[in-house]
Amino acid sequence: MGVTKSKSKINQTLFALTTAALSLPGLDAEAAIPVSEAKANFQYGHYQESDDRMKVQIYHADMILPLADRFELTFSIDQDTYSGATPIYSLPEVMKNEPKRKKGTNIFIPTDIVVSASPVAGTFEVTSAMQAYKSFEDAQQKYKDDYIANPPTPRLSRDDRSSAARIAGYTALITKIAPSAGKVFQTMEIHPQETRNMPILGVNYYFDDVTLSMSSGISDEPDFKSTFGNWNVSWELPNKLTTLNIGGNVTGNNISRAVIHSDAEHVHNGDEDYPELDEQSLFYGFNWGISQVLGKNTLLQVSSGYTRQAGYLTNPYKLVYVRGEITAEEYEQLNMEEKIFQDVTDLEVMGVELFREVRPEERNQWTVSSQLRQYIPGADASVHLDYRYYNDDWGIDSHTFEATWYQSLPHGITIAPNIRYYTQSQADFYAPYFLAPRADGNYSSDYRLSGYGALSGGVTFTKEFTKGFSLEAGFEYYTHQGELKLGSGGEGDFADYSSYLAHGALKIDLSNPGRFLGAHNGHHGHHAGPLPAGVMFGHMMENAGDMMIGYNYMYSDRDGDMRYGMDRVGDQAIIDNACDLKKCTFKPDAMVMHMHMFNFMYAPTDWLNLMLMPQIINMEMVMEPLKGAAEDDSHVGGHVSDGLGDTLMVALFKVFKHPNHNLHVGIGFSAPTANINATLDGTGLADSERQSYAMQLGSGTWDFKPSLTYTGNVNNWMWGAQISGTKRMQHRNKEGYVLGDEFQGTAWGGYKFLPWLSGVFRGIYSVQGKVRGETVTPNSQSAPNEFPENYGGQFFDLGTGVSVSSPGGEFVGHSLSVEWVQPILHDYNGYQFEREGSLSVNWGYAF
Amino acid sequence: MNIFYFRCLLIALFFMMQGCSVAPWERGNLAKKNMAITVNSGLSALRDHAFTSKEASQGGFGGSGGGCGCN
Repeated sequence: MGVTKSKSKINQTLFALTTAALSLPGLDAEAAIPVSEAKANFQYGHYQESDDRMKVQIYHADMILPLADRFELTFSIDQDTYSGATPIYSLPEVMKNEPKRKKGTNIFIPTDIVVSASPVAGTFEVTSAMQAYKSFEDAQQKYKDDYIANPPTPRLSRDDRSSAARIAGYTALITKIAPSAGKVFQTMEIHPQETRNMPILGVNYYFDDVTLSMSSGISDEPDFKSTFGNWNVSWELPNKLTTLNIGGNVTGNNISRAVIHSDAEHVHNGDEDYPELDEQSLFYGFNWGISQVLGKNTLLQVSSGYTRQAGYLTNPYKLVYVRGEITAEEYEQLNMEEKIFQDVTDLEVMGVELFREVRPEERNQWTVSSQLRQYIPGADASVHLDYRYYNDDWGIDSHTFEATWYQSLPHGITIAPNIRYYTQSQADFYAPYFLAPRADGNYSSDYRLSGYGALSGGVTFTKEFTKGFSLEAGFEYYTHQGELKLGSGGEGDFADYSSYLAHGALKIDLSNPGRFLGAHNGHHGHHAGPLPAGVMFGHMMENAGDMMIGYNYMYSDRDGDMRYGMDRVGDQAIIDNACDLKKCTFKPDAMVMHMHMFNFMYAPTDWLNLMLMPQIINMEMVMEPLKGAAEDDSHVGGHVSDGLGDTLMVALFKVFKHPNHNLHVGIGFSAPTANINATLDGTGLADSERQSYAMQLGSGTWDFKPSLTYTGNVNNWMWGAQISGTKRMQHRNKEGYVLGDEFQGTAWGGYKFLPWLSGVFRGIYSVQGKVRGETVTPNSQSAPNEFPENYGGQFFDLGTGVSVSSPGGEFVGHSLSVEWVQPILHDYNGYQFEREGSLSVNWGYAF
Repeated sequence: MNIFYFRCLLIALFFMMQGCSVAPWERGNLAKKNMAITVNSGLSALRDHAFTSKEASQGGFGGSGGGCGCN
C-alpha cells in the first residue's frame, strides 16, 4: 500500500458540510421567538471508522447575540481534522497475486496487478510493468513459437512480428486478470492529516408573524474551497397552528489538488501527463415545508426540497478499474510511443487498467420528509419519528427512518436513545470494477454510491445545571453493510465497515430564567482592574457560585535570523555545527502558531476557583535550504500540524485579600491530550519521519504548573506581578523525550483612562530548558530544530495592551483584552531562529 | 419525476388539512424543549455531516437552507 497524498472525502458532499453549522430558527409550530440574551454552544466530536480507517476530530462553537428586540446576529465556527485510511478502488482478489518477474532475475513473485505499476509516470512505465508478468511472457513466447511452427504468408517484418507477439501478451494479461466473478478486494490508501475550517455569519429578523434568516460562510481546506449563502422565511398563519416555510441556498466550490505538505514527489501520484486539477461546481437548492399542530400533544412537519448540482462532481481521489478501455493494440502503440494516453482514452490513466473515476456533470436531487413529534404525558417523554425519501437522476433512491425517545428525568437530566435505518440503491454508473467500457463514460467504484443499508443506534445524556448551562455527552454506533439494503441487490461484503461517533457539548443560555438574580449582579470582582491579555491564572472570582467562560487567542511568529546564543550566525556555521555530528541542510525560515484556548471557570466557594482550559493549536513551519549545503528535499514545501493541544486544569486558592491588595496561588496540571506524532508527510505513521519537537501539539507528559499572583490598585492605577512555572512530571514521554522545564516572572502596571478602558504595560522574564532525551521515531536530522540541544533559552520581553470592560448596562460582565509582546533580549540554547513577537486576545464573560 | 414522491406529499398534506383546534392554555406540552422539531441543533449538524459524507443522499428534512436544512 503506497503512502501517497490521496485523500478520501467525497468532495461533492461538502455541499452538506456547508449546512453542518448553524441552526437557524426552526419550523416549530410555536411562533419563533427571538432570544433575549446571548446563547453559546461548544461541541467536540470524535468520529472513528473500523480497521483504522478515517478518523475525524470535530470542534464546533456557535453563538447567537441579540442586537435589538427583533434582530439577532449568529456566528459559528467548525474545525475538522481528518486522517486515516480510505478505500480508493476495488478489484477481484485474484488479481492481487499475478506472478511477475523480479527485475533482472528468473524469479516470479505474486504481485498486485495494479499496485505494481503505481505510481505511473508516463506511458512507458505502464506497458513495461505489464511486460514483466508471466502471463504476458508466456503468451508472447507462444506467439513466437507458433509463428515459427506455422509461418503465415506473407511473412511479417521483424518489427511487426515483435509487435504482434507483444499484443498477444497484452491480450493474455488483461484477459487473465479480469475474471468475471470471485471475491472483491478493496485497496486502501493513507490519508495525510488535513484540516478544514468553516466560519459562518448570519442574521435573523423577526417580524410579527414572519421570521427572516440569512447566513453566509466559507469552508476552507487545502484542496476544496466552498462559499455558500442561504436564506429562509417562515410564516406563522393566523390560526397559530400552521407554519409555512420556504428557503434557498447557493454554493460555489473550487476543487484542486493543492500541495501544502512536504514530499512533493508523492503528491501528483505520478500523473504528470495530466494538467493540475482546478475545477468548479455550483449548487443551488430550494426547500419548502409546512408544520402543523395536530393536537395538544402532536406536531407534524412535512417538507420537500430540490437541489441541482452542476460542474465537477467527481471525487478526484477515487479510482476505477476498467477492462477494455485501452485495447491490447493500443497498449502496443503506447509501448512504441506512437500514441500517448490522451490519444487512446478520455479517462485519466492511473495505472495498469486503472483510471480516475468520472461522474456526470449534473445531478438533480429531490427529497420529501416528514417529522412527527408526539408528547407522552404519562411518561413526561416525547417521541420523534422521522422519515425521508430521496431520489436523484444518478439512479439513487433512498429511505431513511429514524426514531428518538426523549425521556425527561429528575435533576434536569434527559436521556435520549435513538435508532436509525438507511437504505439506498446504487448509482447507474457504479460497479466495484468494470469489465467493459461504459457508453456514457461515467464510472465510479466509490462505496458511497453502491447499494447498501446502514443501521445505527445511540444515546445522548444531557444534564441541565442552574444558571442556564448544560452539559451533554453522547455515543452512536453505525454499521454499513451491503446485505442491510432493503430488497435485493446490495453490494458484497467487501465494502462493509462500522464506525462510531462520540460527542460532548457545553451549552450556555444566558436568558435562562433565574439568572442575574444573585446579589452580585454586575459585580464580578474586577477590583484590581483588568489583567494583560497574556497573563494566565491571574484573575480570581470572588463569590461562591460565580462562573466565567472565556476564549483566549494567541498568535505567535518566529521568522527572524538564525542565532547561536545571543549572536547571529551565517549558513556555513549552521551547516557545520547545528546538527550535532551531522551536516545541516535546512534551517527554519518561518513558524506561525495560532492557539485557541477555551476557559471554563467556576467558584465553588469564595476562596477557591476551578478552571478547565482545553486548547486547539494550528502551526505552520516553512524551512529554507542552507546555502552551500548538500542537496536535500526532506523539507520542501513546509509542514503543518493541527489539532487538540494539552488540556490545563487549575485550582486557584485565595491567600490574602484586602480592598487594594490580592494574593492567590494556582496549582495546575496539564494533561497530555495532544497528539505528538506529527510527521513530515502528515500521516502520523510510525515509519514516517517525525516533525521537529516544536511542531508537536503538546508535551506528551503530565506537567505541574504552579503560579503565584499578586494584584493591587489605588484609584485608577493598577499593578501586579506573577511568577509561574512548568515542571514536567515524567522522565520521558512515549516518544522518548521530554520538553524542558519553564519559569516565568512578570510584572505590570496600568491605568484606567475611562471607566471602561484601561492600558497596561509589562515586562516578562522567562527561561526554558533544552529538550532532554531524543525522539524514538526518527526525524530527518537535517535541520537545527530537529536536535534537542537547540531548544529553550532565556528571554526578556515587553508587553503593551489595552482592556475594555463593561461596568454596567447591556454588556455587563464582558471583558476584552489585547496585548502585543515584543521580544527585547534573546539568549538561545544552541542554534535557533528568532522570536518575532506574539499577540494575545482574551475575551471573558463572568456571570 | 418520481410518482412516489408526489404521492407522499399529497398524503401528508391531506392529513395536515384535517385541522384541529388547540387552545392557548393547551399548548404547554407543545412548548416543551423536547417537542421541538430540532431539539439539539449542534448534534443534528454533527450527525448530518457524518451521514452526508458517507451516504449518497443529501438534503431533506426541509427547513432552513444550506442544502440539508436540518432544522
